[in-house]
Amino acid sequence: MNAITPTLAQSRDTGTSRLLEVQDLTIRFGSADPVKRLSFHIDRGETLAVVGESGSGKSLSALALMRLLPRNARIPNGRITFEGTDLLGLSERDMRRVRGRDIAMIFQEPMTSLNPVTTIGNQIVEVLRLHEKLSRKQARARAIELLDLVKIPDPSKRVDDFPHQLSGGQRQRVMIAMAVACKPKLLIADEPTTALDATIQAQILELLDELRTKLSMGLLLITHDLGLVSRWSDRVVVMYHGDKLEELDTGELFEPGRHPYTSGLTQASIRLDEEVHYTARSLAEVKVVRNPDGTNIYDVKQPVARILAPPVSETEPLLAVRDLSVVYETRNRANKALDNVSLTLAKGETLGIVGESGSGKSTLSKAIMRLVKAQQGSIVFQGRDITALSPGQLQPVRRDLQMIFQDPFGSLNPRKSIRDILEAPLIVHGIRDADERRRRVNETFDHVRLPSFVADRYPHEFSGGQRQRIGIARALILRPSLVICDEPVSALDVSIQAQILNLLVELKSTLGLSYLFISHDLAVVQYISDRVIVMKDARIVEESDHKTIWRSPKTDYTRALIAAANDKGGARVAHPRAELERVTG
Amino acid sequence: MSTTEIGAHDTAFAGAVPAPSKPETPAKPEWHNLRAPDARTTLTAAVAVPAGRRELRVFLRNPNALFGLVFLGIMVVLAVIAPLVFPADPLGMVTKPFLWPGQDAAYPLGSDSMGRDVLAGIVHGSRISLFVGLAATLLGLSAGVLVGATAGYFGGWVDDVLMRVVEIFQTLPNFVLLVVLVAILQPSAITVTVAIAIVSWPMVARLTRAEFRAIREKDYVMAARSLGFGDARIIFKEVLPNALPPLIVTSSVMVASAILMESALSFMGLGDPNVVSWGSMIGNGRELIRTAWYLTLLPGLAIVFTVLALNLIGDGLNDALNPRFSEERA
Amino acid sequence: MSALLRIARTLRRTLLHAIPTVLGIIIINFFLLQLAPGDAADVMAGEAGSATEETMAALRARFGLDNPLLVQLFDYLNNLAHFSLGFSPRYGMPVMDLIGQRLPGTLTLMAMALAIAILIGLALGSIMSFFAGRLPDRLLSILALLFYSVPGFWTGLMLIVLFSVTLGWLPSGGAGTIGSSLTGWAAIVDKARYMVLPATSLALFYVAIYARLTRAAMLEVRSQDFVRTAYAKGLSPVSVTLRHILRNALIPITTMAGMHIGGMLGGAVVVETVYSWPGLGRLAFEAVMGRDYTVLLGILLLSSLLVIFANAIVDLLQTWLDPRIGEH
Repeated sequence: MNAITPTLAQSRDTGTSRLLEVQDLTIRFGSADPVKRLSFHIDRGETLAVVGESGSGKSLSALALMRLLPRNARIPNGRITFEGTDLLGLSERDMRRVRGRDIAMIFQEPMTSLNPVTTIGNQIVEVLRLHEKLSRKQARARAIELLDLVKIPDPSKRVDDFPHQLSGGQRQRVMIAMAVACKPKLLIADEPTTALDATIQAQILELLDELRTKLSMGLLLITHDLGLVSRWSDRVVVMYHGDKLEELDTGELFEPGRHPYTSGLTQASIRLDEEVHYTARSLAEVKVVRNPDGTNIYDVKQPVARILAPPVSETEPLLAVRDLSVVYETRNRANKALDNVSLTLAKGETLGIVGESGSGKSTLSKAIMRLVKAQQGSIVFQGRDITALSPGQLQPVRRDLQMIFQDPFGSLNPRKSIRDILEAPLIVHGIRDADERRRRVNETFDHVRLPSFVADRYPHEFSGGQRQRIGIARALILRPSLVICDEPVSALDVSIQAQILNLLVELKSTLGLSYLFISHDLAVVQYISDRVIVMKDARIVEESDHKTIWRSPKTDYTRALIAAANDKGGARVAHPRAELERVTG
Repeated sequence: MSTTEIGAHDTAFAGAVPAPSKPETPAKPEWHNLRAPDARTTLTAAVAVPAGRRELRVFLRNPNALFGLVFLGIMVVLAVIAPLVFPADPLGMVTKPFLWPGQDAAYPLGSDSMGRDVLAGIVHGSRISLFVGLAATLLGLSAGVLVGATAGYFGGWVDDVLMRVVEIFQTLPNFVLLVVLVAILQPSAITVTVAIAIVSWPMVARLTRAEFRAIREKDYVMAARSLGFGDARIIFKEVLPNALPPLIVTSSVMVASAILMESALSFMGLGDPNVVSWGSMIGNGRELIRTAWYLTLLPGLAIVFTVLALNLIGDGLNDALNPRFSEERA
Repeated sequence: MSALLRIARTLRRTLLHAIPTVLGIIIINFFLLQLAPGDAADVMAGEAGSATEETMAALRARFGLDNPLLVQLFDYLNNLAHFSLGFSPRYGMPVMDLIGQRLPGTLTLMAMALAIAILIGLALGSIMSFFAGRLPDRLLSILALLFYSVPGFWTGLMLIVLFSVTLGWLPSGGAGTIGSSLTGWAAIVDKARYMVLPATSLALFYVAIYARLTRAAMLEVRSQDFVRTAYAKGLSPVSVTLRHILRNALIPITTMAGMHIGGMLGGAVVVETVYSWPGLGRLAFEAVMGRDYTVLLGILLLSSLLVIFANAIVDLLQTWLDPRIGEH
């Protein structure tokens, strides 16, 4: 194989090692152009990150490189040159030879990206025998080698496993093995770690980087996560709604003088090591305004410094949970979703709950809301034991205890107008006067910064961030004292996250709320919580205030979580190459 | 950013006036890119659910569905005005037997072995077919939705018991059960209708149960529960409206298969003996198939076109209400 | 987990699950029998021409027809346990034997119809999904819809008009040339000639159902992520369709296909009547005409058991196709 890493001089050379050149690529769907005049290049051995939020066109551009766009997409103009060959001019048959052999791609959802009825071994063998002349035996042996290369333990046994027998992280490794099987020159990774837990994400990214150097590939990394970009890529292309806004070396990402959208994104992304807290300042917000002629104005609303008093601790906690356990009975076994969990929440406090998938944090929120039955333990809210109350008795309590959900697209009834969605709780809780209801709805609209004239629209007419505001409005319309936020920003773009988090902080002080804030994202939890609880395997493993827990974590698990977040890209660790450039000039 | 920017690009709300802001609340939000989805995962950026009018437009733009609707409309009108246009008893002997279609202008579709007018028979036959089709479907839908919704929403042992009953009825072969029921209850329009309803309700129950189970897990239903909504309100206002689309599609198909079943029963002599039906016309013409096969062809065509019209409508409804597959037609 | 072990697990689960259903069907059957106007004594009296009150009472006592309901139910269950479905006075033989005589005819007819429906239906559906939205798909879809809208008995009759009356290629009824003593290959060909039209009439409706089902299932599978992965590996559309899409689409197809066995049995009733085919369906028609409810309900019970059996086979087939089923 070739030399491990090309020298810097070689990578700057626009001739010999240019792998991929994209010029003025435009993709058209019907009358819309989701990608407009995109140009970039990748050299051998380097990692280019394409960064953008949803709707930016980054994934479509990647699919265009492989010519895997949906049938009703057109490429009216542009050139894609791969090692001198014009990809758009190839016949379909020739393009098939390129796919999998010269250019390979891995996708976002490992759980559904593998054929469920064939063994992983067969799926790797399939791509090997397609592009190389190997016998069955040889191909199988190669498959086992590849599984070893991607660090799947016990590869000669697991080669006959079916995808459902592997975890998400392992499936992604198998995808990578399939992709690098024929030693492609370019590997495209479309959000390869988004669907994985934090600890696994770092491992996968490390694996990709390692393979890149080992096999001397170019790596096109598509992501929305700036932290990831800063740690793992050489250069960055920033996209917004089909336009390329900027192209720069990664080292320059955090320097001043960047495109306002880029600097807005970098400022809106919270990073663990910066130790930003809501009591100190708000988050920067990105603002994009579209002009009538189709161009955009980009601006950043700078963070506002705050001096917020820490929550007043009264003698009686607002919420006290003791020894709460939830067990789900399935056909063959009992699944402990919550195991003797105890916590307290003071009035005016934000308690952050952090954990990976399966840690029990969602079950905890549902159990406290009495949406799920607890087999054991007690929930004392506002001094009253609500664990065993009947639905009738629970009704008045529900006014004070509300919830915000994760999925903005699933949390609103698609067949009800916004006004109906917001007035229904008022009707149920006895507010008969229509004018009074209207007044309350308008007031709540103001609180969440929505113009009230949208009230008669339906959910599908709003974007994700706007729907989340409506979800918040619904939670607030009864004027609760405690709001459980179950991953409220996890499904939102970074720029919208910042807006919603700022909103939540503001509402807390305006309306005197207390929050139980659940998330898998450590940085977000760090920003918004006063105290933090870490959950693992249905139990609480650590509990601390927001400063101590990050600086001096007590348990190994918490340390591992923090390390993974940093490795993934939480820390502003300069990319080694960028660092080298800076030094050599 | 001034508020004028909102009006400049805010075509979605053109003409609407934003509410005046109160002095103490912060500045109005700038509203940009109103229709731009900005959710992160593709899973959550699901297809937008229409609010009624879009579905209707898609449906009406479908030529097949339109043809089906028009044809069915004609059939319904014919069925209603049949006594006016053909006031005489269609079972009455009015002319020479075995007139071929086109032989006699007064009887354009000819006459059968007893000299009965074929055209009158076909027009009158539509009445029983449509009556049985619609009535049986309504009955079957009501029973099926009731059982399925209860099973799907409440789950637990209620679900187990009800599904077991559904399964028993689904295992009994449809047509055989139909024949048995009608034979035992003695054939009449009512018994045929009830029997067909008994045979069709299990499928509706299954479908409704599946929809209710799926929707029950959605976040907006959980939100409704956390807001203290009662079961009745949740079932009727949150779940049912969202469970309707597949039910609407199914109802069209149910009418079609009810008509097919009714005609098969009449063919076998198990239909209402006092009424002329397309199936019974074919049954009567069976012996004469070698010479007077138009007696088999014409009523059969009536059945085929009516059922085809209903199926076209059903497909059109499916395309309109289930956006995923209609994307393939783009 | 080996396929055999998973299949064994599924078999056990299916059998256990089927028992209450079978019991339910038997009880329903029994009550339908009770509801039927007249009873065996009436039928026998009808056959004999007439009977006096005393004879009827004696007959009833002899056959236990005047016992309380529960006792009759117990007798019924007892009979079933001994594989007896009662006695048909009209045919003068046990119902079980009668059914046994006619069952093979229906089974062969259904097997042929099923084969036609699956082969043609799957092929058509695959083609339709391959050309989704384009002209071949639209045309075939309308054709499928047409087949779906035609009553089975009318197809049967029109096929007779076309192939038998007008063209004279194929016979119009019966199961074999009467009085012939053909053997071996000639006998099979002869039988086949008689089976073509009835099997096609029965199959046409199901060709449409399977074609539409296959199309929907394949379109559904095609939109899934792993198909995109397959294309990204450089596989040709044909390879992707056969090895990835079809293989996965078979799972929902078999699920739904199993539900139509009962329908096909019902269709056989009409088709056998039209073609005078000697099978269960025709027997049912004759029983209806002759008001022989014992036979009729015997057929209902047996065909239900057939459906359960077919569903069990489909369950096992599914377990074999989908490695995720039967895991622990």
